[in-house]
Amino acid sequence: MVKSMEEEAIVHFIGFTQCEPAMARKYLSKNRWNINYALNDFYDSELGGFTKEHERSNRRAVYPKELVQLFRDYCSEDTYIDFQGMIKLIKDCGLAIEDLATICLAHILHWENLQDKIYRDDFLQYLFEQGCCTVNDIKVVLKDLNEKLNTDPTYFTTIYNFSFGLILDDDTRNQSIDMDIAIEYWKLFFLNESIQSVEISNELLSLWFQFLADERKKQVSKDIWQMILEFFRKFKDLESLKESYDENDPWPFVIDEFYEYLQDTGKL
Amino acid sequence: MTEMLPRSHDLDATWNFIEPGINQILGSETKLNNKRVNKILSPTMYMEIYTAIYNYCVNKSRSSGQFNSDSSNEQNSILVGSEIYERLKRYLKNYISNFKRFDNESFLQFHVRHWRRFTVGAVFLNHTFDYMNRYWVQKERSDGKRHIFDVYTLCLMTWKEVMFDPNSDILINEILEQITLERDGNIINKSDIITAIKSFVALGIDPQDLKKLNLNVYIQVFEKPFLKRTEEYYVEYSQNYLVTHSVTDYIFEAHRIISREEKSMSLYWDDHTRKPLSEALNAVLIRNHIDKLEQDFVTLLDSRTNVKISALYNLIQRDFTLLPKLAKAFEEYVKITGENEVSKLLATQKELLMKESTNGSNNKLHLNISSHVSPKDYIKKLLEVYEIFRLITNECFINDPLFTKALDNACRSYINNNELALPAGSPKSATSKTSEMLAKYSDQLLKRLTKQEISNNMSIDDIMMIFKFLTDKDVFESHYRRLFAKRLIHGTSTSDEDEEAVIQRLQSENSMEYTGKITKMFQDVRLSKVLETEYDQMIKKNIGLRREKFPELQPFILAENMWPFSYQAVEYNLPEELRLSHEKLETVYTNKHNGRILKWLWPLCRAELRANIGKPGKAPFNFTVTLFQLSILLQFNNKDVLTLEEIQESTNLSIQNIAAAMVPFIKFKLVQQTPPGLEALVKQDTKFTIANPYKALKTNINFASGVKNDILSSLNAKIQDTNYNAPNDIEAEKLEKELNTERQIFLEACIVRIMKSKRKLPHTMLVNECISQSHKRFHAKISMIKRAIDNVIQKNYLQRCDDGESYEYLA
Repeated sequence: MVKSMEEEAIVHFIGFTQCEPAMARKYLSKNRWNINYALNDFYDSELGGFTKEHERSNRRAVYPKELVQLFRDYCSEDTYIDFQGMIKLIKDCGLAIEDLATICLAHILHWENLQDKIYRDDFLQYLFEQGCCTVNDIKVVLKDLNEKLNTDPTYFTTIYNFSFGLILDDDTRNQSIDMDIAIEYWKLFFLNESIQSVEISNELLSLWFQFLADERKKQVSKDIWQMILEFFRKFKDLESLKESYDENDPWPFVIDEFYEYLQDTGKL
Repeated sequence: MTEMLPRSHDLDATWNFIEPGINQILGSETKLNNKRVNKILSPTMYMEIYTAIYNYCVNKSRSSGQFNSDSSNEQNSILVGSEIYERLKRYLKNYISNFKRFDNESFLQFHVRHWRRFTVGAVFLNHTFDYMNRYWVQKERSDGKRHIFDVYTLCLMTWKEVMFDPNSDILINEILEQITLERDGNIINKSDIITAIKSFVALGIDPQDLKKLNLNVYIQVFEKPFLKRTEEYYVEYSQNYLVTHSVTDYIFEAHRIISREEKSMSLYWDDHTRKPLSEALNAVLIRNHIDKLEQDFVTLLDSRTNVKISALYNLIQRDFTLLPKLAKAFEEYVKITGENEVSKLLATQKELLMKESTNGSNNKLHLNISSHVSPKDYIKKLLEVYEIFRLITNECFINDPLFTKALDNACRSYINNNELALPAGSPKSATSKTSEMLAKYSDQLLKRLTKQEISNNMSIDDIMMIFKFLTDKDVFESHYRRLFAKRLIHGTSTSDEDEEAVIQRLQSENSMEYTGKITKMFQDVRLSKVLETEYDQMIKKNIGLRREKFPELQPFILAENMWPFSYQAVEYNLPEELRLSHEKLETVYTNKHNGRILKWLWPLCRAELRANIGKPGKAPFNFTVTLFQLSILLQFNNKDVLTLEEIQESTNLSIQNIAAAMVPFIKFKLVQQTPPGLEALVKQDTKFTIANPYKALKTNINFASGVKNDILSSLNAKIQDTNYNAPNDIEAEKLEKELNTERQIFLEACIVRIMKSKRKLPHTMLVNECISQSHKRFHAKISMIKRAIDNVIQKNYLQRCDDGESYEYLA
């Protein structure tokens, strides 16, 4: 008798979910054969946020052939694109790894770290969202984004902050990046003639580099990385620094040190 | 006997009837040609006048109703009085304007003379016209005719109009002149002035509301000129006075003036003037000269004469807005005095050293002078300054909160920061030496071996007093613990009770947490004593164990993190004689506390040794030696001569440890080294011979205290004396490093704790919260807090919010 009730529940369960009988049994027995609880449990844990799964199943159907082909061109083992694949893609887009547009591309692809792999579904979804199917499409989008980077301060900040995670070594995630790499990237971001979205005093920047070298700073944390942009935005020259810098403000300690350094070396 | 009353409806007759009486009441100077004038004002006469006026008013009112029967009812109720009121008014004007001034009389006297008489008369007159006052006047006024007054007021108003208003300037001038005369020290007729000024108050009548007395007249006519004159007078007076007198004299003079003005002069003025007068005096006598007074303040503090300081304070506190500046000056003064006293102490010490060095021709001047100042001298000096100014604050400033606070601030400043605590040129991050000195002071107080003349008049109260002001209390704790550890291990405390008393006080002044380690150390020593007895009993009970094999042993089991000893593994073989004891003790201990690991701090062990190597027949020597020294000496039981190599082989000690242990032996000639010299000391084939018999004056000899672990480093440096301080510096550096790490950890813990409860907090609030949480241990600098915040962010406990100004806790 009991047996048949269970079986009935399984039939119902499969009727809803189209899943394997074993899966149905697992969820039902976990929830004491209460079909409502079991269904909730199933949708919660198996399908995650439901909507996402929904999207995912949707998009599978509609990816254009060219886009799928694009993925095949760069992927490894038919499942993901690794660093090498990305390098190739970047090159084919007419970019170098150190171009800021590359960071924009990484941002689009949610490629949060150079060592991360980009999986097929993600790759297809993110590019599809941008309306890209071919390398040429990507080029067009990146051209627009490059323009946006040049003129839109908010977008600039987003890309700047995003870049920290990208260049971080995988094994020290969320920690800090080496100073020489940081300096190279600062140069990319701040010494770029075409960028108008942020104005940074060359004088302060070179003093900052000087300071880092003199004080033998080795590492840059995420907090410093983000705050130094705010710092340069707020203080356009030595004069304004002299007038309104306050060590009681929440600047990271290293920026206080920088200020002190400027005072000690008579720059202020 | 009485005359016939006039007919009630006849105004002239009525007036003629009452006029002589009025004259009589007011007191006329011109004799009227009337037979009644010579009479005194009798009740009869008073009644007659009253009746006449009454009749007039009543009759007229009634008859007017009768004669004008055709008029409206309103007229019926008309009250009569205006004609007679007008007559009276005219009469009064005439009367007052006819006053005659005597030739030798000042206007003031003239005014006062008449006023006195007139006001008395006016009261009577008011009564005689009472009926009119009550009915007609009241009716008129309630009808809105505010220029009609009751008779008394009418008298005063007329006086004001005729006598006072035209002449007020003259009158006031005369009064002010009189006052000036009095201020100059002359004797004047005060009562005239008092009366005159009172009259100004009386004349302040509000036509709208007679019952309300106002001070318009008084203020306009008298108070303003009076204040102005007062100011002028004292501006000049104080300036002149200061030319010929000292500021200190002036302070007392100002007090005298103020008390005279406020007390004796108060006879004159109405209470209303009290405040403006005080303010005027404050402005002229105090504020105008505040610069000089403040300058003098320093001089007075220098002189330490409480009466004068007190006088100045009392003067300046009259204007409370001036006090903060004075308190600031006091703070600055105390701070500088404290600093100077310490510098003086250093200078004296320096002189002493100079003398010594010229005598001994031993140039040690490059040594830090501050290390030669005794902790007692230093602490006592700090206290002395505090005590002086505490008394002044108490006696002169009556513990005014502003000044108590200034004193506290100043003391905190000079106690933590002076030439000795932070010599010029110290790095920013340097910690004040006061904490260390205070710890040494405590050590001297609590050490049994301290000489009587030093321990004399030292006290726990002293410690606590300075402790209260320490900014780096954690530094004190760390030094204190170090010295406390030595006292405990070497058993040199005066008594457990004394130690406990200090700990108790520190704990109640700060916190349980603060004295946590110290208390634990104390406990360790007690538990060790228990262990010692247990061990002893165990050996006594066990007959199989012979006493010779188990020398007396005093073990100390110390919790590793509480004690300021860091464990370092040392290459060392325990001598055979002690091995059994060691094993047995470990067994006893591990039986008691299973699972605890014992690490032995060999370099800290001491031993008492009886050496029978004196001349035959003499008592054996008692040596106090370190454990390493013991191991070495024990070797000489078998052989009189040993090479370094042999010693090293048997003890497994490093050359440095052997050398350090050997030096005191050589110095006290117990061991002879061949070849001699420091360099040979470390050579493998150097021979050491024990002196047998050993000749020494004392039987108790302490070799342990002569052990200097740095003996070789000084050898390597080839400099013996100049480098003397180096190890201390290294020690200090190590200490400071430890301290900074500890503080950093403390702050990080603080931040995490705060953020855990607040979740999200702006930067400044977090910083302030950190400062307030750490102030009982040390003064947290902003830079330290920021560094800690950075670290906590780095460790992912915290994240900066998008506004860049606040932080969020990450679970």
